Amino acid sequence: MSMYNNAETSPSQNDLLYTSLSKNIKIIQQSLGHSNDIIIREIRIGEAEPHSLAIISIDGLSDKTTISDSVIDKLMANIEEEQDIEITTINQYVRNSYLTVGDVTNIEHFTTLYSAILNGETVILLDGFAEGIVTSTRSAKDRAVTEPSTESVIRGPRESFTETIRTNTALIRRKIKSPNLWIKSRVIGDVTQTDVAVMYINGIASDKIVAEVLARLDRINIDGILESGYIEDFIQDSKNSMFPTVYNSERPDVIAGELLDGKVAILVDGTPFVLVVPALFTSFLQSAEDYYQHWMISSLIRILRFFGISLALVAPSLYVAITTFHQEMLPTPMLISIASQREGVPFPAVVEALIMEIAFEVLREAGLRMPRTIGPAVSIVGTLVIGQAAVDAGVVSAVMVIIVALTAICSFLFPAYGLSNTIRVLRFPLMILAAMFGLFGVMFGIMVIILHLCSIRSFGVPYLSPFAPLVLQDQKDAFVLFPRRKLLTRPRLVNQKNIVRGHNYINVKNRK
Amino acid sequence: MVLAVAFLIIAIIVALIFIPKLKKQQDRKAVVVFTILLLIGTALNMGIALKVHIPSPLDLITFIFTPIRDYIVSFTK
Amino acid sequence: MEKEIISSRQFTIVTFLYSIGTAILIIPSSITGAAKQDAWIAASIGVLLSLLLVKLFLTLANQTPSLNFIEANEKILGRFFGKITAICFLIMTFLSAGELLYFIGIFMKTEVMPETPTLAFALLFSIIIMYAAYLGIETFARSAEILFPMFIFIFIFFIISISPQITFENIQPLLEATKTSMLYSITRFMSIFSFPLLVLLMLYPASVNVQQAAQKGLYIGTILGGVVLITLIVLSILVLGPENTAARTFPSYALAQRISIGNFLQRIEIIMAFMWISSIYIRTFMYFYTTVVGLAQILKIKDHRPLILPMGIIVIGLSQIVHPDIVHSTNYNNEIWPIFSFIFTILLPILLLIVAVIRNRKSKAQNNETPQQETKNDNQKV
Repeated sequence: MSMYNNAETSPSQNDLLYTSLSKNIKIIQQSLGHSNDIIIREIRIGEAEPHSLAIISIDGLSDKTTISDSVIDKLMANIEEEQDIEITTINQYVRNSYLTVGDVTNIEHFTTLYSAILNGETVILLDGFAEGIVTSTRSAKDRAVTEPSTESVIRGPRESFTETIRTNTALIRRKIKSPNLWIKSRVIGDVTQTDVAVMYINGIASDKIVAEVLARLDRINIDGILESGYIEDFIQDSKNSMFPTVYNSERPDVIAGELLDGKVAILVDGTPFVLVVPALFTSFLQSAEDYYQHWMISSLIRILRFFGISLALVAPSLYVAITTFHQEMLPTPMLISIASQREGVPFPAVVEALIMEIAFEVLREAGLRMPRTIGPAVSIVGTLVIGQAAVDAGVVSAVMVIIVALTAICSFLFPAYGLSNTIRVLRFPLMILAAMFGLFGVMFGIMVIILHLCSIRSFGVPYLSPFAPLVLQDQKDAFVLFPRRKLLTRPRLVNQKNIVRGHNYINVKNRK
Repeated sequence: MVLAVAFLIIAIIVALIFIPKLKKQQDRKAVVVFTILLLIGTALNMGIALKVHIPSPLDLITFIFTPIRDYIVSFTK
Repeated sequence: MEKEIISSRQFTIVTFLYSIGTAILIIPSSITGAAKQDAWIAASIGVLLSLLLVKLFLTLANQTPSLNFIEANEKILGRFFGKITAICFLIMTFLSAGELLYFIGIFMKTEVMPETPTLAFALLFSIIIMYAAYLGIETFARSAEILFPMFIFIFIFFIISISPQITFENIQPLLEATKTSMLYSITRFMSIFSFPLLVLLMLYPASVNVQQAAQKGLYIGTILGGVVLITLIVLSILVLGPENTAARTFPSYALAQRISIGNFLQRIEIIMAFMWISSIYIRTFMYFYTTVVGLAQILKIKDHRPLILPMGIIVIGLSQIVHPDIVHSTNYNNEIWPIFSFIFTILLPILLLIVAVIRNRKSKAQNNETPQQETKNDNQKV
């Protein structure tokens, strides 16, 4: 794949290559600041009328073996045998007859030349010709395809994407061998020139959404894209919402599944995290493993996940609200036990809760960055000191520690990291509301969150579908999972085109 | 007293944020209506905060409709 | 302001929750006071009569297919008179919105959290309403769709938990109430349950995508709402007894307080309260939204959204002054509101309907509007 930036017209400097080889080389060295990883190999070919050639590449980005075997070797070996090579046609000669590398193109501008060598390709310049030849010699040095680090499953493929975009598209193509799997590429980022590829299955994905994705990508105007998260920020529907409307995953099987559903994938060179749009609330509720196990088990686990996440969101607030305002709701023995625990604690419930939650968040963040050698030791210290000692010192009550621990574990129930972060943050306002207004405050907070979720769209599809607006047909894969033989249709609001999966199912009516 | 001042401050902040936005949209009517409503609302709430006795509009409705009600009830006696 | 569309299913759900509104909390008390243990009969008759009302509203709405109620006022009665009736209607909805906010405040303060000022509850609740009004009808309809299953779930749980405490003697003897008291009960019931359904004409037919299904939806929503209310009244009488029900301000809450499952799950009435907070939210939103959008339409302001904030502030203030105490509120709702609402939710639509039909006939006589007459007949297949 050779992709070149459109040559930007810079009136100050002539962008066209010169016919004089030495002049070209001088300009190139100057523009690149005489960086010492630029390899310029000059050779002479031809016996009767020697022509000067320069072979330019960047060390590390280009594949040295390919260059020496397929380019230099071929050029030096064969051309010596020719007796008379006409001056005007040597360019074509070299290009058509001697290079054994695939993917050869001509260029005429400096900017395209830089773009080419910075992508790892090799440029051949001939003296006397204002043209260069680009050969594709990209290095295949790449991190190996290993297990995903953030989304592991018990049953299912163990591949994960790597940082090279070509490997990633290949991994997806291996899963979906349909000629309808199309790739559209873009280069985004003025300075980083990052390759971005948009993949979708033509005929299943909605054309509107594909066009919208490409339009939004083209509107991005920034100097650098380092990770897919940058792009996520630019193409999201609602910039102010904390809820993610773009799904991302490290796993090819997950992405392939989403593509089959009619969604669009966005791959960014340099990161193994591939984006998927449109992303609905239910996408974050599901894990790839759900589809590899028995449907009843998956349904129960999904319900458990949802319940756990709700708990992670409201458990501290409920504790604060009930112990402060609504003590009558607890059964009497439990009330007495909690009261006795809280007796020594000098703070009101909400301060206690805030202290514990903040302490836990600090621990969690610190734990992420800790060097692996001290990590386990510090976490033990954290649990013992902060948890146990705090209770013994009477700073917090034991119930609070339990709730914080429960909340923490539950917040990891969601397979998608983005949404659980949001839940983490939303806990705190809910706690404050609970402290001020009891359960009414909690209801208020939840109502605001629900209203907010109802108003968000992801690329035109309402975020909470298929719950609201209610699409009965899609309930089979939303909250609970139906057996595979019943999953006959694709999500209705994501694509209206190709609703029915497969053509081997009999008696399938295309329900509207 | 504090509540009344709080209401006033909130009203001023709202006015400062929204009126320029509305002015940009060139809808004079909207600006006028917005300001009038904001003034009424602020005055009303400040009055409540200062424990001024403001009669309920429903009393006016009651006043208007009580004769009708009595008339209808007399039918059913 | 782009046209927002809601589906007929969403419309049905909104109708259902809207018709329950505040009725779920105060109706049992007010109608049991008059009809005693036959209150449920009064309610049932009321629900049946409400269906006639729905037909009236639908017929009127179909006269002006693409306009909502406020615009229809102006179209049918002409610019001057139409504006006057529309303004009176909006005064009614605005005051009702304030009343409902007062209601939430006084309910929470009396029964749940006595130390919090009512202003706090009104403030929080109005923030939700304002936010929903800002986000628009579509979002609101979706939020109603989400609240609906929770509501049903809690309601069924409620019925099942309270049923063991039924004593059938409480509902006997049957049919003891006098005709007058029945009449009063039915009127009061309908004035809170079905008269305000007119406000739903702000949504239909302008914002609904499938008209036929939406019409059915209006009926179904009303019937279901009625069923819920009748069930609640019956349960109140059966469990608490007619005198108790009439004496309390919020008998449903008292019912919820009595739930005790296995001596473990007790005093969970605040979860039941979620149910009526939802229905009040729907109704308050409709009143508030109608007022804001109506005002914008009368004044020919294009975008109604800037008006939300100042009107919200006024409504908060209204909620504090509209009733000085609960006695005033009960008195108003029992005596004055039926008449006030009757004029603007029954007489006004009838007037509009008559004028519209006359106008249609006149233009039909001029051989101009024959196609419209036929479509009108089509739409009337309810």
